[in-house]
Amino acid sequence: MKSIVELSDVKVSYSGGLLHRAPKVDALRGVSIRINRGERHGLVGESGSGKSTLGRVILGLVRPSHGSVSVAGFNPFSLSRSEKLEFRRRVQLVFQDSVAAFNPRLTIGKSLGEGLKIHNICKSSQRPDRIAMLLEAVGLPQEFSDRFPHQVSGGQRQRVNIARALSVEPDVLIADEPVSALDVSIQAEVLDLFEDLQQEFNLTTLFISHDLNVIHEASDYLWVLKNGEIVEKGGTKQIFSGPEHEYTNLLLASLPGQGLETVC
Amino acid sequence: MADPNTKRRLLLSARDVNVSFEVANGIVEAVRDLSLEIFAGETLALVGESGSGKSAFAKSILDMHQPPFTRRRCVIQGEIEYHRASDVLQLVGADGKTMRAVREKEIGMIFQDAMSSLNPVIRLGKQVYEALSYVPIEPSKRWLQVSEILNEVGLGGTRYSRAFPHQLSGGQRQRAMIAIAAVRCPSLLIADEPTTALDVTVQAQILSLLKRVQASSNMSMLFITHDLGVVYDVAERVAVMCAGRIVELGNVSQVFGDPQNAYTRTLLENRPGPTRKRKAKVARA
Repeated sequence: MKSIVELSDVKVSYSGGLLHRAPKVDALRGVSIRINRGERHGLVGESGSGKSTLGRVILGLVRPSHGSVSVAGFNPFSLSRSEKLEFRRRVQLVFQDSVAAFNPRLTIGKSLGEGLKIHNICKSSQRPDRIAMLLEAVGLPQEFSDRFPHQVSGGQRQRVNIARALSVEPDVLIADEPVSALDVSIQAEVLDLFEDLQQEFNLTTLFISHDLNVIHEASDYLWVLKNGEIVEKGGTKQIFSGPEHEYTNLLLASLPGQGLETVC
Repeated sequence: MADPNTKRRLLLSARDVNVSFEVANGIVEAVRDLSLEIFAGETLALVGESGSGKSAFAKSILDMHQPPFTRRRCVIQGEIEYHRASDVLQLVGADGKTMRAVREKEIGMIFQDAMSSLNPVIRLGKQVYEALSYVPIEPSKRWLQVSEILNEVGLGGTRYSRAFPHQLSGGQRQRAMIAIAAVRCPSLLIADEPTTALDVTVQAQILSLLKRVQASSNMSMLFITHDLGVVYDVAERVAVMCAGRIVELGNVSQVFGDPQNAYTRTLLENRPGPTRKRKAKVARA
């Protein structure tokens, strides 16, 4: 199968401090990953392990100091103007903080329409229908397009966030902690939604989270990141049933409520 | 009065507590007719989703809905009684002096965001020392006690006592908060989502630290969280809150094993992970 995301020996370091004099922090120390079209991947690690940096490299937002990156047939760091537009359409992102992800002065309909307009997805006359369709796909009523982001709940806003990412018909969807800020029952809804949409739109997804339980549901393949290095990779179910690396073991052992299932 | 099953002494009892806030377009009833009891030495977990009134209730115990803690207008009704060895204090409507005494000696509180609870310009040791200001012990022994408690929470040595909060990691800051709360040996510790912002491995450490501190001082804990797994690990009894009310209260194994309330069942069924059964796919046109 052809890979759609391929990173080989990617290194990223951030210089810190005033005048960049502080010692450099190595966020990624030679990471190689490969994601095939249509697969559901998960990336797990603790804060500071480099998971978000990895997501940003794939999106072309952070330039690695070493290694090669290929996403959807592009090198995100040497794009012409027209290629950039196409790359942005094909690789989309869902952020954790849905409040910050929206322009508070645009209605939800307007926000959803922006991508359609910029990428010329449909005729302007068809845009309202298209927006209604997108809202429906994420389980929201059409009337929501007239509301402002602050007028809907966190779970609903995250659905709109997902709808917006899907509006431009991307190939690759990167979700950086998309359910961490949500309540448990809402988390469950959004995870179910992800699963449905992944099948419906034939998406390739990379789900970034610190929560092993969430990752278990949202991925078939798992990468465990620690201190900027992949310490374990493989099938999600396989890793959960028999982790090989000591660190993965520690992560699994630290999950709260281990005996809870036996009581329920 | 004591718990008939474990013969534990009653420490705190809340009866028909109502907490409401005045907002721009009316009144929000955050807590409605809440009644519960906390016994000496036990851990009671208060669990519920955001906005269910968990923190609103916890803050009303320490009368933290008044300035300078907040500017929102808030009305607390009902009774919250704190049982000391010799007498009973009514905490609702108590004067500032009484409340200060309770906060200083009887009930401690730690929060999710340790950074904003610590003073950014004072070294850690000094902050723990300050927490002892009102405890009647010899000044010369104070520093000794400070280093003892810092040792106990795993922040021993001058490296930590001379550190400023920003030089510590999130887990270390939470340890520092626990030290500041525990150094006064409160009878009750209110822990408001103390591990929510931490990584799983650090969370596991902090939970075991809290349990150790609790065991060594026979402290009670009111543990607020939205994570049912954490409840299972730390608490003996659990109160499930929904829309300001307690919908179920009982022993953890009983409530989780045989939930009587529909909302409790929803919470349990929706825990993400291997055991969750997904709902039937909603048919879409």
